Amino acid sequence: MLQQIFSLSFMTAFLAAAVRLAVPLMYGGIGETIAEKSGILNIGMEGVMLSGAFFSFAGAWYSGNLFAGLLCGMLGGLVVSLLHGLLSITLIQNQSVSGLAINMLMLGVTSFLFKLMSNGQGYQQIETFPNLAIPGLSRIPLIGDAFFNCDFLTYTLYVLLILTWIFYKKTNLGLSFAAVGEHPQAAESAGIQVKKYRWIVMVLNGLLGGIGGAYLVLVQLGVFTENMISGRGYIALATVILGRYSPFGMFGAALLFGAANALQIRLQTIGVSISPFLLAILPYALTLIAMLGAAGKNSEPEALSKPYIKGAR
Amino acid sequence: MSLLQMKHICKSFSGVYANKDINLTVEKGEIHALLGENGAGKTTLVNIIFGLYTADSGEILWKDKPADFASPREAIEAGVGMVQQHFSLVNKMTVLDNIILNLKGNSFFLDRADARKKLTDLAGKYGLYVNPDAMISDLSVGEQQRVEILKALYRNVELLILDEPTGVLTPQETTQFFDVLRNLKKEGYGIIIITHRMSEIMAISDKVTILRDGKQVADLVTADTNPEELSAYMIGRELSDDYHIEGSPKKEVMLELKNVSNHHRRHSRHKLENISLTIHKGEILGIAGVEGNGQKELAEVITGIQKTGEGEILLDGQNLAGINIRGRYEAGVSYISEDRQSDSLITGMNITENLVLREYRKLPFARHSIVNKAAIRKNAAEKMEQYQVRASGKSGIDTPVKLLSGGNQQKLIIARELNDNAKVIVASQPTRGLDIGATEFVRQQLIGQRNAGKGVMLISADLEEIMALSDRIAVLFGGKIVGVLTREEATVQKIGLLMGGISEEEAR
Repeated sequence: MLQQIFSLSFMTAFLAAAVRLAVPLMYGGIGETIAEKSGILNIGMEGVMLSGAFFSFAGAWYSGNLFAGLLCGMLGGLVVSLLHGLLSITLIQNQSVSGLAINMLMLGVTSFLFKLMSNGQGYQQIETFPNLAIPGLSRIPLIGDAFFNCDFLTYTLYVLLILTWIFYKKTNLGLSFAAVGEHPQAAESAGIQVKKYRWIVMVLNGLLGGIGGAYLVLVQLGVFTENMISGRGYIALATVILGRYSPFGMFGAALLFGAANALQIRLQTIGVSISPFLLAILPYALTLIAMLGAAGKNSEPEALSKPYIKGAR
Repeated sequence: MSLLQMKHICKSFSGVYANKDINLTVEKGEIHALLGENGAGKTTLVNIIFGLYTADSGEILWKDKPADFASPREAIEAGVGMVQQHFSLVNKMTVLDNIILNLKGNSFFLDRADARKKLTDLAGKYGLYVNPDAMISDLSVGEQQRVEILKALYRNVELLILDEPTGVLTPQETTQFFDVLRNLKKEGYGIIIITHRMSEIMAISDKVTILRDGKQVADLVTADTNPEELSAYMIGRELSDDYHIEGSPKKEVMLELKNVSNHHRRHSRHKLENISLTIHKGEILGIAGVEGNGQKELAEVITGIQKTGEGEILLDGQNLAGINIRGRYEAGVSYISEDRQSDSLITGMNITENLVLREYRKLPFARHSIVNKAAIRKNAAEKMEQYQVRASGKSGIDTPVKLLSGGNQQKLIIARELNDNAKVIVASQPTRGLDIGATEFVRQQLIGQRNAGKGVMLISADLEEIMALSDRIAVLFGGKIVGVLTREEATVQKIGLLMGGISEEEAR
């Protein structure tokens, strides 16, 4: 069995699966990183992704166009994040409560809409986005297939990660967006409009989280099922913390989770004599252990999830 | 041309005037002091200038043109900078990043090299030295203040507003700081400085505007006035500076700390190291020091809120190790905490309930876990009378504590903590934020305890208070006791050096 595991073909396929499983988390994670760096904790990421998944399926189904589906998915995510923005920025409500409420709400809403749409019957699969191999790079042994023989959304993600990193490290606006999450009063007295900036990050949070959900439908499965995000939104939150609020840290954390998930699936298929239920715990247990390792190293934005009231201390 | 003119400014919060018909003019190259007690309306006034509040009525002229800044951004762009009492700095960013945050002239990609050079030049010009690449969280309060001033100067302000800038500085740092202000004045900056310290006003300002209860009571030229006149205007009556301190402390030790350190938690920044102190019966021991040097930790280690790491604490011979907060209170440790609203009172509860927080379990307030309301109410009525606690409105003893003024809240705490059972009173910043009347009352109570033969630890950031009340003065710096002076030895100069971490030997 060990031979089976350590063969090149197994490892190549394993890595490819790890990346594929990680990409939705990364979209959710990058959206959440951007939001949290400016002080908004969106626990409702699960709901955002679920909305993205449903509306991308509905959009693609009715229009017959995958790009139209993607757009619908992004808008679906956007609406949910804006709801969270309304509750937490404008109405100054508790962000955790708002986020949890949104998750429950969206589970109901998407299931209900899906029932209406399908009339109780199952749907056929829709087409999915094809893989586009990058000449040369995709030939690299082991990692080439995993990282450079993907769909265009994965490549877009790479670019997004790099841009986000540059944005926070090197640009004037990036500094301002980070200040809003660290010390909104200081940001306000430096002339930054805190609420406006927080609304902007919620827009990005929704669009990116929406893509994360849409990715599952439009790239991986080609079909929507009830509660299909099944905790990925929460895992995305964990990758942000584990990645210490940096885009590449988040990337690594998501990859770790993707790898753990890919491993447990593979172990199940080659028939390791461990209960599949135990194996299914692996990714979550690994995340928990990694979180324990990161404990105490506080990189959390200081004003994270604290409501901001102008003029108040 | 005046830099700033404010005419007939009024501002009220829920019907109570914070500013009533205030007129203020600041010229270029002028240091204008705003003097007044807490709650006199000084901060409200400068917040109106800076665009944080909008005046209800009145007119503001900036360089002779009407100006009504709707936000700090507009104020900064026009040339008004403010260093607030609570600094507006982002802890997890460098000095440089804090200074260039959201600057108008910034290009999309930050040019940090250029900014660093400009900052270094500016810092050199005014003597405001600070490492541009240091994290704010690693800086001392004095350094952070320099960053705040640099931040304003970097934005080319012409008027600099400083809200209680010296409260966090040692006397020596204050002297340096005043040199910086004089440099700025020479360069033609207008400066508004808020303070309640007469000595500082006399030392630095050109003009003084005095506020009392939101009203403007006097405009004086500093050269033509004196501290007595200033305080008469500020308080509205003469101050008695006499405290009736009888005889000298007894020989017997009431509280002894032997090489005490606190149980140092990973996230707490302050630790106590090797603290050895004694308080005798009938003695007030003053603990001086710049805030944040372990004062809170010291108080909490004695009262049992924080765990003692090493060393032992003896109360009248009894070792307090292993005794929890309630046990220590019952053994005779009373506590007036520095943050009365979060550590001493439950502000949502009423006066009767807050008065029995320490003893609600015991007779006569409870028998077999059943509370005796009548006894609790009787206790409240008596204590309110005895300690002159005033509750506005008709609710009397049923008034929620959050509706009381700071002074009355503090009286309530004193009424609860100063009982016959107390042996040692740990009083941390007991007069902070109180008006003159309440301050007097609190001080008299502490002296009363001393004269009754109890031990008092007076932790205060107010050096004048410490020097007026203490039999001996210990100075805390960086979690260590750096010196203990008797009342006779103590001078502001000596204590100031110790507060800055310079030991007695070096000071000589």
